[in-house]
Amino acid sequence: MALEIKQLSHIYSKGSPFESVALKDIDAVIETGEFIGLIGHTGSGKSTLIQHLNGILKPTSGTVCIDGKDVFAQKKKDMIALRHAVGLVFQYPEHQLFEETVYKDVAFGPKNLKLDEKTIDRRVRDAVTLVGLPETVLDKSPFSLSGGQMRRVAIAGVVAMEPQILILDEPTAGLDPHGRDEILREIKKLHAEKKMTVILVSHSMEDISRIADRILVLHQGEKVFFDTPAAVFREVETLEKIGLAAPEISYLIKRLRVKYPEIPDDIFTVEDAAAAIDHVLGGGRRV
Amino acid sequence: MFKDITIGQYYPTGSVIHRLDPRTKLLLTFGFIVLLFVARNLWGYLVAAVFITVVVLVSKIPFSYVLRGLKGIIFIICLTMILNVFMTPGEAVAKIGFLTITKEGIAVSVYMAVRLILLVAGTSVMTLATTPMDLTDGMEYGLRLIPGFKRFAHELSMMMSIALRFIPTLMEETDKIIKAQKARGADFESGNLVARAKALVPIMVPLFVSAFRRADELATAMEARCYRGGENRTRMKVLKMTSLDAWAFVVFALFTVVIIAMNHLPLPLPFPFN
Repeated sequence: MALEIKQLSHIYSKGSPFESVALKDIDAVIETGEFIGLIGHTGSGKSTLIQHLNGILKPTSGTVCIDGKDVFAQKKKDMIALRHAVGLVFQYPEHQLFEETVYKDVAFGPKNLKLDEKTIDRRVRDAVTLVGLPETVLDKSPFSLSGGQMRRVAIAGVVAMEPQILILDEPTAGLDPHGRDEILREIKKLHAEKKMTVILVSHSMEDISRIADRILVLHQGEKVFFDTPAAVFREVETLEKIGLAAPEISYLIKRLRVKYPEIPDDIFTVEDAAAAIDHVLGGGRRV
Repeated sequence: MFKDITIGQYYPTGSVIHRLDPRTKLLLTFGFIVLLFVARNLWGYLVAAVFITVVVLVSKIPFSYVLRGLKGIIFIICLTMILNVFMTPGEAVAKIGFLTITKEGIAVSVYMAVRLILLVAGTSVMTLATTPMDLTDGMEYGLRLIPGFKRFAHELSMMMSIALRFIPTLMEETDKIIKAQKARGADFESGNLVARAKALVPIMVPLFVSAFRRADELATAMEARCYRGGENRTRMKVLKMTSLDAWAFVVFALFTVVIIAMNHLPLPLPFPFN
């Protein structure tokens, strides 16, 4: 499903002294199956933007089209159908758990889709396995799990609805490095196995550079870049000016390139960097 | 969704009304409510309406904001009006089936409606023009004057200010949870009463969980800093009456005199109030 954001603007509390512009004329086209990283400093409008994508927030002006259909020009029923095509995992999603057992909580979304028992059961089990939880948690109370497990249950709750576009708002916030890597790996798996279009919101360049096809950079409600990681990270000066930075490893590569210009300049992960350095310096020897 | 609630919502303009001492504002609002019940005829209410209009103009708060507080009580106003129109005994004006509309009924229902509207408008202006912190400080001062309450005054006002402080937080939280459940396909708008009540469970459970979590965190943070309220505690911002407050009292005294005078002046009254 292609997603098209057209001239989207949003102003909070319009006409009161608390008025604030959250988004200004955002334009972007996201193709089917893409993995998009959405990045920006706190207050840059990331969360506001994604809430427009499934029609939860109404824009002040502009619109969002899914497969050419204007989300906000639909009748209520069609809009709900569109909402199901776009799965949205909010920040700290574990705060929305409410059922007695993990199974019931994950089943809440599919049940709202009015699916039959058998399909619901299959989807719940699928989703829980996909996010890397053992089936033994299904009968436990979600409130007895650890923070990282609760978050996975919440993500499974959205995955079980089998959306074509999956949006995650800072799914790794507040997790330890180990939990963060696992969640990211599982999201990558979802993207690969379920062929979902994924939009990942984060303010960690490291996370995003690893997995995103393209990166959308927001600053104070405006689009700054929307390009491949290589192209975006080349603009280190602009990124730093808006309170972001390129992945730490790219600073090392930049320094190394002064001495060894044969190292390519599109390296953003520690693994690639190690390989490149090995190639240039090691010549087969261990370094 | 929760944008219509004006009580406890501060509207900053920095006007003369905003700069008054919170004790003055509390006392005068209380006085205003008492006077609404002292006034006995249309002229008195007219004066009160003009008075509150002037106060709103001086406070620079848009009328739409003050009136938003009325939305919540429109039902109560309509109900009391309907009941009073039919239930008050007196000179019959019209008959609909077994229901009789009396002249006195019309008069009483209009008075009730006007009184309620002015009451809500008056209190809304106060909460819109006073920060919640100032308001609880003023209340603490007032509570201390009541015999037997001195010991609890600080605790009570602390509870008040914490409660006020958390209203917007919990509203934001509720809003977020509603959005999250909507994203999971929850439907809050259709179905019968039972279905709708059931639909509230996915909102209420996470909301309670988070409220308890917040309360627990706050208590721990206060304990960790050895918080002890009440005794021997001095204030950073001491409330101070200024000449502005003196003028407010003078103006209000004049208003009181006019309201009482209206009860006794032989001014003509139109139907059905004569």
